[in-house]
Amino acid sequence: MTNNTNDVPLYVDLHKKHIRALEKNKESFSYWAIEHLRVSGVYWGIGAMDLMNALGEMDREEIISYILSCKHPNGGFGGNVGHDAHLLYTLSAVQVMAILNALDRLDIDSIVKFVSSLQNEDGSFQGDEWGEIDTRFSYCAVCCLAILGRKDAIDTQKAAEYVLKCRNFDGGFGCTPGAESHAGQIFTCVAALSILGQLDKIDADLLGFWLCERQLDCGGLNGRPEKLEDVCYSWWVLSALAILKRLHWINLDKLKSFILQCQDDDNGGIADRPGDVADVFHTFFGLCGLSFCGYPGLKAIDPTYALCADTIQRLGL
Amino acid sequence: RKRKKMEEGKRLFDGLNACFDKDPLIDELGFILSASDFGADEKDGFIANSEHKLGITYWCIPIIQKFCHPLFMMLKHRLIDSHSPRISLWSQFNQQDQNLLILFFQTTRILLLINSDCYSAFNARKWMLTVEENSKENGEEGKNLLNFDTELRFLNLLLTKHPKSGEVWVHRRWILNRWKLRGNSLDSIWRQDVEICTRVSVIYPKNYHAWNHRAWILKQVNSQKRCLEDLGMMNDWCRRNLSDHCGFHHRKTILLQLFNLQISMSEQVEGEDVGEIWKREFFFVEKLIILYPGHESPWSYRRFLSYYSLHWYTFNDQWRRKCKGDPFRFSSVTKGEDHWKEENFVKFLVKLDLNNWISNEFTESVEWNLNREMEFTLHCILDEGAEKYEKQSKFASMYRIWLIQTVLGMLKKNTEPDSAETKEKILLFEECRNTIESLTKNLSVSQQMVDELMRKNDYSFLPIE
Repeated sequence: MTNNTNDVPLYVDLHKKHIRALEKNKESFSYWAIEHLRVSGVYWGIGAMDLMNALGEMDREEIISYILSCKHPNGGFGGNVGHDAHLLYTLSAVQVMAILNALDRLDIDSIVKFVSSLQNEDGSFQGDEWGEIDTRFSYCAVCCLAILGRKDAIDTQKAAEYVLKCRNFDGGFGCTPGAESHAGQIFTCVAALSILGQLDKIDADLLGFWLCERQLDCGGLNGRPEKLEDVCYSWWVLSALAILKRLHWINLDKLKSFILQCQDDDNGGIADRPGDVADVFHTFFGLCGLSFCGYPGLKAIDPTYALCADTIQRLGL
Repeated sequence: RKRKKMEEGKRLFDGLNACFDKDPLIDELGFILSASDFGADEKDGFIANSEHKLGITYWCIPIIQKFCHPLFMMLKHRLIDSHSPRISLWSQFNQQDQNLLILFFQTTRILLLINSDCYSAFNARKWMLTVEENSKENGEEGKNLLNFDTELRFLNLLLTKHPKSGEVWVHRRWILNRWKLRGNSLDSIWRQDVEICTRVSVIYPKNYHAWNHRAWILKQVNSQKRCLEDLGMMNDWCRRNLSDHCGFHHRKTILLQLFNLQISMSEQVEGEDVGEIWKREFFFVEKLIILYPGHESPWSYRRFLSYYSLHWYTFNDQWRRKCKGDPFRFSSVTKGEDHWKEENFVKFLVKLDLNNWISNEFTESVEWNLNREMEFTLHCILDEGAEKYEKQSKFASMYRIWLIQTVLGMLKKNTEPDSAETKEKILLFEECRNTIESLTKNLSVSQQMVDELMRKNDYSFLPIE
């Protein structure tokens, strides 16, 4: 990987500052806009700190207490204290506990029961008791159970079959059968199939081809044809390509330069594109993208589980 | 001081809810910097006018939320979560709890106006609607806080301010599914929902959730009539929104549905034959590509059309019987010479009526086959006179690479891989592949990717199913 001397550096300290400040910002408009998914916000924040080798700067016990306070009697986790149980936040909760090496603090059986209860006969997963189906939920279920070592609790064959039903002629995947191919959904489906041991059912060349077309002249990636570049696709596209062993099909140097330009050099954090307001979501995924590009000083990230490689090793995945 | 803030929060909360009591037909929501800008009393925190528009000031939002959010959570716990099993009839509540239901409903309304992804508030409404129905069926008096119509209206309102919200559509589908389960037909809702999807797509283009919902409702009604109606609406949309990949994807959804409808019915359906529609679609997209060069979405759509034409010719008897010629027909590719018969196309364009995009003249006189595809893409790659030439050339090159890989994959997977005919075709396409490098221009994708693909012998891009 060449180092373009025109690149701005990675403002690690500013990003750490940005993430630590999120704890305190509980009164603002922007807090209320996303308070329902704060558990995922914690995952993105912790994940980012871990990538920057700064996990020790966070208050481990406080975070564990917070996560546990979002637990429901049925085993699922809500997006914030009081919010209803949902697969999305159950996965985020488990991921946080995995990073903090605190899985022993969880009632694993109850989580497994919650997750497996959401699988339908056709193998699909609903997000919660109210029934919405989406391939993202397939990934949440499968990834969560894999981290807990309990994939056996669901019908893995049917789970894979349903995901494959959502494959389109272009090799991509949508949220439901026939839905438009979307890089985010593609990541969830490819990662799910990887965990389920059915990657061979994917035409890696065809899908790799589609994914490569996401790279624009500016070096950034988009999620679908003719959409704008967005830093979060540095994760969705790159991780899918990494799982398909075609990461080298993307121009990583150009992407790296693009991500670095999306940093907020005043207050820290990374935005979706240069000049926009930073947030923890894009900060995490921007750092993930830089990690894939081999940026020095960042930990390696696993493309399937979105956890650092050392966590994966510890879990034996 | 904290109590003062809570009092102010309650005042704002009550005021906002009163708007809805006064005007149940509020249909547009916005966030504003200042209420006094619109002639209202600034301390009200919002403005509601006689045209059913509601504006909430940014400054009052954190104050309302600090009051409303804990109240919602407290009531949710008391009325829903603390009961195991859940309450399913209003009569199961004591009088004190029954009196809290209106307040609970109001908290869900405010939370969603401000953050329509607040899924727990939607869940609470689902619960309330369920209990309301159960209670009425049980002969009890309902609370009449909400019903299908009011929910749909509320969702439409939320979309005016939160067009990107995913949870709004999730709730909408739950409502519609329930409505369907009670014996109603979604066909009567179809047009209304399509209108909402269109409106939202105008506010926030390439809106994945809105278009996904449009596809969902079309699948629910599953009729050739509605498919054709939708396709008709899409003609205008696609012409005006050439960069909208969602719009072109919706055409794919409609076409696949039409195909499935036709093959699932043994006799010829009334109206259009899907093979004819397919042919017209080719020329529809070709017109767009030629008239408005440099847009990726029409090229992406062309891939879809080519893929399924070849796929069904290979694997579907019904389709193959309808085809007039062999779409795999391919004689040769000559490098550097422009065989694309632009004069024919120009002649057609001169006669083109832009108000009637679906015209039979061109479709009947020209046959679709691989030969023509290769010539057409060559023309687009080399035509430096076209506006946005570089982009057009790039998309044409990518299409050409994709097409060759796809054809090789299909030839490999077809029923007679060893026939002399198939072998000859494979040879011709392999030769084609070898000339790719000199023809691919302006690609921003990694050259390494193209090189790797073109040298493989186990042609991937295999057909699905």
